[in-house]
Amino acid sequence: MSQERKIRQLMARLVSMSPEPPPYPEQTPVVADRGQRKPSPALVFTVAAALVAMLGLPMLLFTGGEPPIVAGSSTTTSATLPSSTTSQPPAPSTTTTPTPTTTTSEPIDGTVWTGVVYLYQEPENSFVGNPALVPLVLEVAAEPGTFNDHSEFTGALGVLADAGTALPDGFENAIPPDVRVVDWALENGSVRAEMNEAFLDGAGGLLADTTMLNQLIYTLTWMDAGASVEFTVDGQAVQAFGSEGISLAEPVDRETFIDELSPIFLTHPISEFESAYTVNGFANTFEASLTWQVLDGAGDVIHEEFTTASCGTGCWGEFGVGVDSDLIVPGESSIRLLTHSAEDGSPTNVITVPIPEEGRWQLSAGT
Amino acid sequence: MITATGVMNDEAVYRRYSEELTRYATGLVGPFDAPDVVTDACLKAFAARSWPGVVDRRAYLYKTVLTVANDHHRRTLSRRLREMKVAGRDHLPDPAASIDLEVLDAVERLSVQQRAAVFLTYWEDLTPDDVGARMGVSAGTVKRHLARARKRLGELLS
Repeated sequence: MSQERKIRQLMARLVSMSPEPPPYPEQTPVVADRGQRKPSPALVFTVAAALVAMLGLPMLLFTGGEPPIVAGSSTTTSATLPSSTTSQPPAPSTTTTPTPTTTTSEPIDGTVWTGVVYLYQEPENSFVGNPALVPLVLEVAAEPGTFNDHSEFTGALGVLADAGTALPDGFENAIPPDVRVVDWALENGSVRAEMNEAFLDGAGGLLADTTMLNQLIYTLTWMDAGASVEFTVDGQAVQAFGSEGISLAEPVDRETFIDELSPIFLTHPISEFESAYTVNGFANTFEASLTWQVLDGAGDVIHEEFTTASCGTGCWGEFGVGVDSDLIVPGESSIRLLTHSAEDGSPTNVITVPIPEEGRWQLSAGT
Repeated sequence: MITATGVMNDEAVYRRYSEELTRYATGLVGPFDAPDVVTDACLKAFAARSWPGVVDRRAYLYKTVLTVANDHHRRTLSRRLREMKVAGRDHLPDPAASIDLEVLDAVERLSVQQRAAVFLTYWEDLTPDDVGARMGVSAGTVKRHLARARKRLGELLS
């Protein structure tokens, strides 16, 4: 039986479950409760930056660039965001204060691009249903000339969205395949991203649109997490975006759509640094607590600990853990993050991130 | 119920389209929440300032149902399914008795937009252009949703 016929049968069975139409609604129109907006995490960023400046804590480069997490520690709320980086995968580096840069790609023989791209994962047992961002270090093999200058950095997002590019299992990309970052530049703490016209259509639906924007914003600000982003098409600032007309009249940043993300998500790729795998992200969970687990190749939990974020129960806070390298077998192990339901203790908002071999995912761009 | 100007009043519009809108909402959020989505969508449409000037009210209502279904949240169906499996169908009110869990498990794999594209294409037999008009997106976006939906349903349909 053809696939089309099976889908038609599926739809027929679905429609057969359709209930009776509700009675004509004569009451006063009711505005749907769209839920409370959570407090903005702006304060988190501001206070974090101030603390770093006052205490003179070293900012680690991300070539580098992972926040300083002590190996084996289970908790940290240190506020270190990557202020500068190249697109190279994380590796132990110096503690030199970074200098701004606008170049991110490192073409290797013109055929391989390595960089950090934010994909998303649909958390298991999520009560809000929002996606969790997960940055991955990707190594994408493409036709010679595809990645020949920095303007193709985020063009790689489009290649990844291409139907011919198989993403790592468990990860998805909300950016439609015809969307391209035509050019971009980082100047004075602001990213200006020139997009093609397909960008204006969005991803189809409010949640898909905000997911697409979050992926783009986080990836474009990888060098400077505090930078804002201005999207343009044909040189003109984009005012409204997607089918729901999301306003982009003002520059947006990592905080703008953060409430449309899952209560636990990652801000940095999981990477090995001085005998520990560092896991850094944001969380907005009950009493700021979350659990991290190490899973072996069979999916069994071999280690579990609790940690806390710098804020919770209505506000976003940073968290960071260092997982002892002895617990990890690259290519087999996974790290799982979750909270426990306040009602029945069941795991919720669960994300599971496999640890790739050699610290990066190797993909081939499609046609 | 036609007014003196030849335009159907809201109640007449509702009676004419409520059944197909309920089917559409079932395709988007499942049978449990479809009536609520239709009610909310109609209230929203009838209260809109632009409503009196809308020419194609059927298309407008379809778009509104999709918008409300989006707000309603795609994970609600997953939650309902979990509850149902835990409680057992005997403990759930109608229309639980007629629920086809296999179908809902399949639909739950799709985003609301993908469900809309699949429903309008394979049940309503609309072209990508017409589906796009109902959803308020381009035909290209519709094709993209369909491709991804087919991929997600791949295991079931193979």
